[in-house]
Amino acid sequence: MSKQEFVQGNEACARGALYAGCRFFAGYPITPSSEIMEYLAREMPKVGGVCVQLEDEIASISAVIGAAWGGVKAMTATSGPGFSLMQENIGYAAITETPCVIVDCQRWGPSTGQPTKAAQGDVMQARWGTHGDHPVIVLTASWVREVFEMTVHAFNLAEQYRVPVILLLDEVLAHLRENVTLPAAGELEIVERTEDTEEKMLNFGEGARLMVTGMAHDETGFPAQGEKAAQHLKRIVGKIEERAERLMRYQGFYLDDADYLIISYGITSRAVEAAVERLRAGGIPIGWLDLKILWPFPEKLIREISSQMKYILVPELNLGQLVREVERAAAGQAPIAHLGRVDGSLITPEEICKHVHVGALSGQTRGSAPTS
Amino acid sequence: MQAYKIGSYALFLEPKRCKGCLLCVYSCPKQILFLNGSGKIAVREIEPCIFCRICEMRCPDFAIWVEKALTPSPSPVPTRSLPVHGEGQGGVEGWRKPG
Amino acid sequence: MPNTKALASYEEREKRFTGAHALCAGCGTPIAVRAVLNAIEEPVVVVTATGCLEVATTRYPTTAWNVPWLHVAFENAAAVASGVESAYRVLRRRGKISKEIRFVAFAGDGGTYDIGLQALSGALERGHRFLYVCCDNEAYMNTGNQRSGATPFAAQTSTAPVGQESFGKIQRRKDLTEIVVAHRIPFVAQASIGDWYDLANKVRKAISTDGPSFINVMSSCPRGWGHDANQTVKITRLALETCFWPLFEVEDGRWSLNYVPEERLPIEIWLRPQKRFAHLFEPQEKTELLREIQKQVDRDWERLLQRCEVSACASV
Repeated sequence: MSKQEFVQGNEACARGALYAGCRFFAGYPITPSSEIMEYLAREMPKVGGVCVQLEDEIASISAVIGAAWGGVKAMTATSGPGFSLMQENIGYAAITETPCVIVDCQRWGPSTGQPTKAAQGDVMQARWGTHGDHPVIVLTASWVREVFEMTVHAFNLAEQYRVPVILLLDEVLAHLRENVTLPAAGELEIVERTEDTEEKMLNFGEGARLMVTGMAHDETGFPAQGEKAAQHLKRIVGKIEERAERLMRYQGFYLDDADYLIISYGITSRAVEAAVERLRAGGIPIGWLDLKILWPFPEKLIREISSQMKYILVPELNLGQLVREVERAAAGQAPIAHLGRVDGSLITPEEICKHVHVGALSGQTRGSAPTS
Repeated sequence: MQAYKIGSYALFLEPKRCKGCLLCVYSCPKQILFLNGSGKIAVREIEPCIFCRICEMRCPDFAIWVEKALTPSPSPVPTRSLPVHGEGQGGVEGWRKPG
Repeated sequence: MPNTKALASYEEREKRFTGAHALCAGCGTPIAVRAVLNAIEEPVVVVTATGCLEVATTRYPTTAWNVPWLHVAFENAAAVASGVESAYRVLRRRGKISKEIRFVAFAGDGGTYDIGLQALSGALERGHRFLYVCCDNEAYMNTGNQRSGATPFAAQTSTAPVGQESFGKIQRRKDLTEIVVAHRIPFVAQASIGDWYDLANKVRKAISTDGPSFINVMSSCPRGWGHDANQTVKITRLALETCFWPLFEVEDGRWSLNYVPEERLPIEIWLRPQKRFAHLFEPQEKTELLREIQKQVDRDWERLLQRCEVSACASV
């Protein structure tokens, strides 16, 4: 496997899933995620797995939940409209502590929107799309190799903590081809569903009488109400929130001497990388925080960093989603600007540089920053 | 747009809309149609045409149609459609409805 | 029964569906849509599910629709049509509208056989007066040829690949027309762009029915099926001649055949020109699979004949 290849983002995701031990995929065709299913339809049978196309996204995630309890690592992939259909069952997976991976190749929305244009508009839906309080982990990636790694990581987290893990990609990254060397067998750690996982799980047919229900239940699996239901909910939400710091995954650049900061994630990070190099070359003390995990939100980290910053810019392909979290975490310690773009094109390094120049040097903050 | 008139009928072609699928060419009972050098619909000779409208009914792209002059027939370009760039401009050469 | 002249006269009506769409060269869907809309005299409201037809007919700054047109999502063309039709009934009851308006929903096979089946079933059961037309091209062509519930046995699609272990789709296609018949609605039919007279006839019957009606129209996809664009009509015609796609209608529970080929062609004749079935003939002919497909077609045809016979006897 460790040779240079020209790999598409969707293919990297599919191969990452196979690498992580995924042996069940259920999906429904939707641009721009269809290639994941098409790849797995060819490759899954070769490793003894099953790839099925179902009648819609609701059925897809339901089948994934069933397969997860049946004892295999399972995944589905979709895009905005399908992701919306899946929400009820993502909540079900959360309350029944079902390990599964949901890939969302974000596209411009709402509704059909622009199916072939990228967006980062599902950040809040990924966290709060299903009803009620619930635990969920949301990862993202910016490079094709990273798509592979984060897919593997998503399976590891799902198995380790028994939680649905959502991987947010986008149209551009899904269809982008890059010259990469994908990890060789054994290079990445794989978490298997054993006695050693932190949240233990029994599969169907392993000796116990399993009862899985979406009703509020206690640890025996029987429906519960009142205080017992509250305890259950607090425990499943708490198991992720308490581990927020341990789950934290990010890359920081030039943070030691930075006065200004850019916080980015996903496809936008690629433009930020170029912008940061340019700004540094121009003598501007800019730092960059590239988030790999969006939920649980790295609140503590951002609170600490923002106390040392004079200006924070959050570029994202929406009208302001993650920037709200950044504002909340920064708690007024630094002025925060938002660069949102929703015309279907990506944010360019030039735009970011311009914003930093204008915003940082004149103290402009969110609300007054132009959005295109 | 091109128009070929015989008596009270006229055959209209709109090569800009043509995608060159050949469905009309293959279905024409008189075999008067062909694709020109740029892959667009063209008329070899109009005389044999019986204006049966089979080409019109088969064309997925509304690039060929028949109009009957005696009855006021609507233009195939919808009256309420949004403007189409470079389409439907100007008059039809050699073809004028009587009255 | 309308003849070519009658059909031609439909073309003289104001165009409800026109060019300026970006469907592929030789696409069968616009042929079906124009034939359906041409055959209706009354004012029409069209609801379209997500699919090639939706995205390719409404590209900025053009629209191919010269009628009120509504697209909501992939799964709900029938449900949306129910809402529009109900609103019309309310307005009529209140005396705010007096025109006779007809409602037509267009959807592909993905939006009908699979994701839209629930909405379709609900709308049929509730008895809304509308015509649902399924443009069946036997796979999800808009997203790049993935299998659907309508994809025939042994056809190759991007999610039913051909390899050493697999010969394309291993399941049979579901018989949606029969599922719809089970709703006991007044008019259900199977039609094809290979026979316009029949299609136009059925549309006129359907639209004059007081209640829900359904027409399943086979319309080929040159890109997905893998044939030349000029073969669109011929291929669908061959589906009739081989009895793969028989033309029939079910009026108030009475089955009747609309077309019986003089000489039934072997199914191979229909399969061979299509690249999605190329693996059945190359590198060597898979005679067993071909025999199996022929057997399926024979059995379905026999069953259909029996049904029509029973209906004929019952009505005597």
